[in-house]
Amino acid sequence: MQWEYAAYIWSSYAAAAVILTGVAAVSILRLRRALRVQAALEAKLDQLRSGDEA
Amino acid sequence: MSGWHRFANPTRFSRLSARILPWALALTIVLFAVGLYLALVGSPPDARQKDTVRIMYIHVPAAWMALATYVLMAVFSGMGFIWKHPLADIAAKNCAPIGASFTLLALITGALWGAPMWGTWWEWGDARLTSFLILFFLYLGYMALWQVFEDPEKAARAAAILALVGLINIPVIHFSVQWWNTLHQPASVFRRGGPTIDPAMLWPLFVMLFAFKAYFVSVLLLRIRAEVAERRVRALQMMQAEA
Repeated sequence: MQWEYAAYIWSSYAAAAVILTGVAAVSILRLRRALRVQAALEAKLDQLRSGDEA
Repeated sequence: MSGWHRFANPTRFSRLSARILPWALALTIVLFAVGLYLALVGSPPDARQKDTVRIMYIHVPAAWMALATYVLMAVFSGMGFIWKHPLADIAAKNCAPIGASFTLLALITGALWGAPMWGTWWEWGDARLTSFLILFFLYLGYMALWQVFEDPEKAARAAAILALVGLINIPVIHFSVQWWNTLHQPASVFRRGGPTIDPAMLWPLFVMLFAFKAYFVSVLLLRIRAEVAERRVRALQMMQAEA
């Protein structure tokens, strides 16, 4: 596209892409990690409890 | 209020948000795809601003969402302050990084729009620009307060006070273009007498606004779910240490 001031326009859209995808990606990774650790701890506690009962 | 409290239960919220999240993410992607097409291809250049007007489709929704997110953060903070509900505090806490990123984006795109149109990247004497920069610092201060206190309840109380006091900046930002002489143009969409923007530009702007809104809902749900899971992890670690 032969836009006037193309560098300013593309820089704006690039900034939006970096900031918005960056925040979303960090949030997704944080959730995945928290859910993984939570599942591992719950499994470990269940194991400890079943060991106590035995 | 009982209806709100029912959904404010963290377990029920996690189940409900897990069902909503895929739809919210899908809606975000579709709205951004349509909005970007309309902004970059489907909308005409402006008679005076030429193609730089395309920056508006990022700058304006980011600025609107920066203000709306702050108001929502203050509302959640107030609810947490009054009813001491942990989920309201978690929601307020997780609004802040999203709002800060919208504010940063509005500041960057504003500078990129200002350079070719005003002949300057930044003007310290401009009330709209400086009050918006203060909004960015308010978000940073709010996030920093959460890190200062070890006790989440104390952190929530201190951060809530800052969020509520900082609300005074929102009308200042909104009316700054009317109260003072600014480089920034006055309101051209939400104003008495209706929008002054041509519908060919107004529709892409609204599609992008809804894309930003859907993005906000998606990321906020992701972050609240993560925080609820992290708090559960801490509780499980304590249970494990005691076992």
